[in-house]
Amino acid sequence: MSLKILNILLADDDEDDRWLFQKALSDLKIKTNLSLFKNGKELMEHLIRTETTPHLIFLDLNMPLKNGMECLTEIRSSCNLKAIPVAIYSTSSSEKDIENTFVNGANIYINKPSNFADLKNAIDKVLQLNWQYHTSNLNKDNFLFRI
Amino acid sequence: MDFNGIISSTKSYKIALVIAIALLLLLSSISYRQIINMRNSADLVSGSLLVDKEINNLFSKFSLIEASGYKSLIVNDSTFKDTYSVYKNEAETSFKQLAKLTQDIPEQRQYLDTINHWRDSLDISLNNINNYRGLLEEDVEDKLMAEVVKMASIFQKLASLKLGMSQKKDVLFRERINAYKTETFFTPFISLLLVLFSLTVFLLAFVKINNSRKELLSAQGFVDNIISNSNNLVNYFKPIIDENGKVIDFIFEYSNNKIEEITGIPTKQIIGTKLSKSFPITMTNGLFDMYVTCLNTGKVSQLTRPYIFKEEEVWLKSIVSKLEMGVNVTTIDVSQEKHASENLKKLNESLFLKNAILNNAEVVAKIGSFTSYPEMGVTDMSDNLYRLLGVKPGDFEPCLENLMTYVHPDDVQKFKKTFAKGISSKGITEVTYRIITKDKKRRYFKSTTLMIVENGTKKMVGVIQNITQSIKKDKKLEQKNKALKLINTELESFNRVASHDLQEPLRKIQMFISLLSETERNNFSEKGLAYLDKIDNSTERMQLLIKNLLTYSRIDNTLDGIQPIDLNNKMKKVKDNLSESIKESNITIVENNLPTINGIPFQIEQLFTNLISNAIKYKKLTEGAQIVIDATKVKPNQLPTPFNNTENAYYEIKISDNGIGFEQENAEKIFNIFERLHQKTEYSGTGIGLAICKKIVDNHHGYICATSKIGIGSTFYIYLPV
Repeated sequence: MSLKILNILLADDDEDDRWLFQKALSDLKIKTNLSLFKNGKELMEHLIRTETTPHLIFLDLNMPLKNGMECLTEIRSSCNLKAIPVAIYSTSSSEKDIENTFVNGANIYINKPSNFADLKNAIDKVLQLNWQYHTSNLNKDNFLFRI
Repeated sequence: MDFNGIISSTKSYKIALVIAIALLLLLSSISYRQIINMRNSADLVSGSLLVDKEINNLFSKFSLIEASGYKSLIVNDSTFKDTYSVYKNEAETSFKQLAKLTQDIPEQRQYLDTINHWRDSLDISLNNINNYRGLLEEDVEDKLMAEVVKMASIFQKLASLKLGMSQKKDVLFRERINAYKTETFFTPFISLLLVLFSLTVFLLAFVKINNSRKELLSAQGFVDNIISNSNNLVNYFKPIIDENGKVIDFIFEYSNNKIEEITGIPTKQIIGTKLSKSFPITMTNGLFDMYVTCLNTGKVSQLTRPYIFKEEEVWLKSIVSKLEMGVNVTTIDVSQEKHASENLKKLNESLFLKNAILNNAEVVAKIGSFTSYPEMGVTDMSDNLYRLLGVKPGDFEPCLENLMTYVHPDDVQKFKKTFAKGISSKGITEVTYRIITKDKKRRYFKSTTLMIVENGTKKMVGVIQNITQSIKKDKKLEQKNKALKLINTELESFNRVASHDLQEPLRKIQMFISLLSETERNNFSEKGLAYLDKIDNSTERMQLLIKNLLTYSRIDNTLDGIQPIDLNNKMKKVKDNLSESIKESNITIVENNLPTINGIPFQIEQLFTNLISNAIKYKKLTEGAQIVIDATKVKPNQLPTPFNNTENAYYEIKISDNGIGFEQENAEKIFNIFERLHQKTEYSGTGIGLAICKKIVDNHHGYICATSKIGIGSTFYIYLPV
């Protein structure tokens, strides 16, 4: 898997976060192709347009125009997109957000770390997850990613 | 059963009997006369025979006289005179006898008179003959001859007279024989007839009497049946009278089975006993006196009295009437009627009381009531309704129009409309309107009306409530609610700011510091690096503070999502979360008998996480730190006193450590928010952890408290409902 180039999408309205994510990802050994979107609307438009199916989508929740929750619902209700693993990538640690995204079909929930090393660590682990195994054993406890 | 039939037939029997006796007497008299007649007839026959005998006797004497006369003439017998006098006497006797026998037969008497005449002639002739015989005169012979011829002709005459008499007697005898024969034929016949008739009459009478007796028996059986099956108790009493003629008691002569049903005493045991013995109460409750009065006056009277039979109160109505020498008493169980009327009386009393209470309640509750009969145009208004309008009860005629004058002009239409709707509808109608009281005060009234039909009459019952205060309160409450909503919205946005917007820059600061210390480490001086560490620590603390505050504010007062939680599993997860610090501090955690409790999972997790991390944080710096978690079920009386428990059983979860402990006097303080017992530099902490714990336990209707000793350790007690 590590030999393949992974197609990764990130939708986040915060420019610094996009930059940090990109930097952290580039520091990793895994070969990736990252596409960045400023909001949910851009992401969804891209998903409809593109022919290549991404391997993983990182989704922030609080975004203008179309928030992460709306994106998640649309992805899960689309025949072409519903199989794509979605990782929630949010500052919010509220139970409500965790619960709602879990119910709506997100695969993992990552609280944005406050340390660059942690960020790298988190992205690395998530990218190396066996999604098939993780999804079939998904429960509320392993849904929330812990560094 | 035709009693009239029996009575009327008895009457006709009496008439029949009288007729039968009369006929019997008539027939008897006829028969008697017949027998007398027959006897007379027989007498007459025997009389005829005697006459015949006497005739023969008489004429035989005459024959004897003739013979001896002739003999004396021939033989010249001088004794003839004596012989003749004997015969003459005998003939005289016979003649007298004959005269006696034939005194009722005139023809024979005529014969006898003639005979008597010829007998006298004969006597003269015979005397002459006798006299001539002694004389010796010439002409004696001739004279004698003449006398003899004369005598012969007399005897001739007498012989013809005998014939005539005999013939007459024969005719009479034949007549009498015939008459006798007739009598002897009729008399037995009539007697037989009489006997047959009598027999018939008696047979008929017997049959009829027997039938009547049977009917009477059946009638008696019928009456007996009625009495014994009657719902009423029937008694017959005979009085007991003392030597002064005063009635002192009564004896049960008869009772039907109902007495057993009512009193529970077998009928057989009662019959024959004294009233005073069997039912002493009757001697004092007026019943005995009533019997006596009835016995003396014959007047029918009645009395209703309570008795205790079979441990229950029974009301009996006794109707007494005089019957022959005793009193007949019919007793009816009127308990149900009596109890019903007693209940009615009680009901009335309670109704009166309730009415009073209602009146009072109306005043207290600031309500009034009315009853309206729309078809009759009649309305009743309660006193308090008047008072609510600011007037005295009865100040105006209670009717809708007058009530309407107090309604606020703007609400009159609404009031009228609702009232009209109320009359036509079947359910409850409500309307709120304003009124202006007599002293010009504005009040809010709420009318609740219900249409009911009672005995075919439409009736509207209504309650009018003065809701002025409640409307004012409602308005205040509404305003407060609005303010509260505003505050809530503000709080929500604050939470949002705190959770996201406030954390966001902070996280970025931390992120760039970490990036700085990682990538630019070599460009910093020693001092610079130290400053960088300080900034990092401060931002970390700030992040912790924000997180804890958020957690605290997020624990709301609802128990949504409550579910059974196995504390063993929960502890595993908590230890998992805290695995690093547990490892670092080298602390041992012992769990015993952890139950399954009802709770909100993330809150319970938070609770234990906080308590365990607290225990880790305040451990002694020496080796052998340990935490023991125990749980037992306790009853409400085993709970600490400040806890206002409401459930029947609780779990007591005890978390003990052997850490540094704290002063017992601070045991309550520690649960307050931002309360810290130590310097920031000594122990890291925000002062929110235990406050969160308390909030969680409170939210679960439980209780948390702690005991501690400095240098020994602390124990936290959590009580949660089972």
